[in-house]
Amino acid sequence: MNVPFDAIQPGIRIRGYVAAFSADRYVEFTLDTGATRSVLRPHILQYLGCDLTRPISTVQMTAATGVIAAPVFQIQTLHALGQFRNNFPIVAVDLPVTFAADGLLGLDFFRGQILTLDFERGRISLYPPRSRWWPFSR
Amino acid sequence: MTAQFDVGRSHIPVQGYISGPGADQYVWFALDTAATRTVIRPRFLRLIGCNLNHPISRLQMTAAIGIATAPVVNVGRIIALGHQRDTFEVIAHDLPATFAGEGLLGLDFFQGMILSIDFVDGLIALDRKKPPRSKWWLFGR
Amino acid sequence: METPYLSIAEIEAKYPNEWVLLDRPKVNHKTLEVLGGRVILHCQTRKAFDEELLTAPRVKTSASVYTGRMDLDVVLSARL
Repeated sequence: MNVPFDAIQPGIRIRGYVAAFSADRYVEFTLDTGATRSVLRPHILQYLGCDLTRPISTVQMTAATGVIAAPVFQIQTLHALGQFRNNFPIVAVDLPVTFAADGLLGLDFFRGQILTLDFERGRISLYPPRSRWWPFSR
Repeated sequence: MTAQFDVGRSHIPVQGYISGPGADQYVWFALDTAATRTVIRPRFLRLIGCNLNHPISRLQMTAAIGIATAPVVNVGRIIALGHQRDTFEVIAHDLPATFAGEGLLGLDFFQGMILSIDFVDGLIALDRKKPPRSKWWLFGR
Repeated sequence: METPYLSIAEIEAKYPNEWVLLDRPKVNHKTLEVLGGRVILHCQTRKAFDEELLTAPRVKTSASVYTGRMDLDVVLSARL
């Protein structure tokens, strides 16, 4: 699926949809290939019904204060760029207040796919591989 | 141009080359689409002769800690993924110690181009032209 | 009293450069672009928005929208 993005605005902003236990929300992600894991602000996860005191696990992350353990929560559905991820683990991280997005779409969302960013036309496409002959055939 | 990377890693490493007033250096970047500008650790910019005490400007940006101000310098040349940018402005900013690379390749490097990342075979392609298309493999459109 | 439905253009005009929480948003289901909704919360800063979320009315389906433009460059370096 092809999705437009504003190639002039800072960052690649993607609309997404997340559903958890008691609520769901249309949110805005920044597409972040520099983040190994996808991230949402804790307040959003709390609003969706996640108990912030009971994460399913923690991950080590580097923050301004050093390495910290960030909590991971499982959300029922994450929908972005025309694809769905069910029972998807999301890391709760307080992003800077000067950063507009609700979260980051990290590498975990793109595994097993081919991501194309057209900075000329301002379009993103994300597809599972169907063909081995273009453009990455071996 | 197509480059390979290990899909199992925590980031997408890209081999790059930077040249400054006094020297040049092969460096490792992380391909970071959340970085609007390309960033290089200050010590590597000093190594290639950039004067961080007299930057061309200072930039306010959103960093992990909040708003940070960082010097902006020109590198004579930056090459990555088969593409070259001359007299390219980069931000001198420290990166976490847990990150092995020397910089972040940001969105400013990719302006006007098409970037494809194959997370199955671990391949990155950066091109100005649209790739050839064959309708039989495009589905769902 | 239920707040009226506003289009995204109306929301941007009424609450410029603010973080807005919408109830029952109308959405382009292909691109997930938010087309409008009923405003239940709006704040001028992200910090205030995050704080007020804790006491905001709980609705089933919501959408968060920023009506402004963040001009600052971003280098997050979030190493996870």
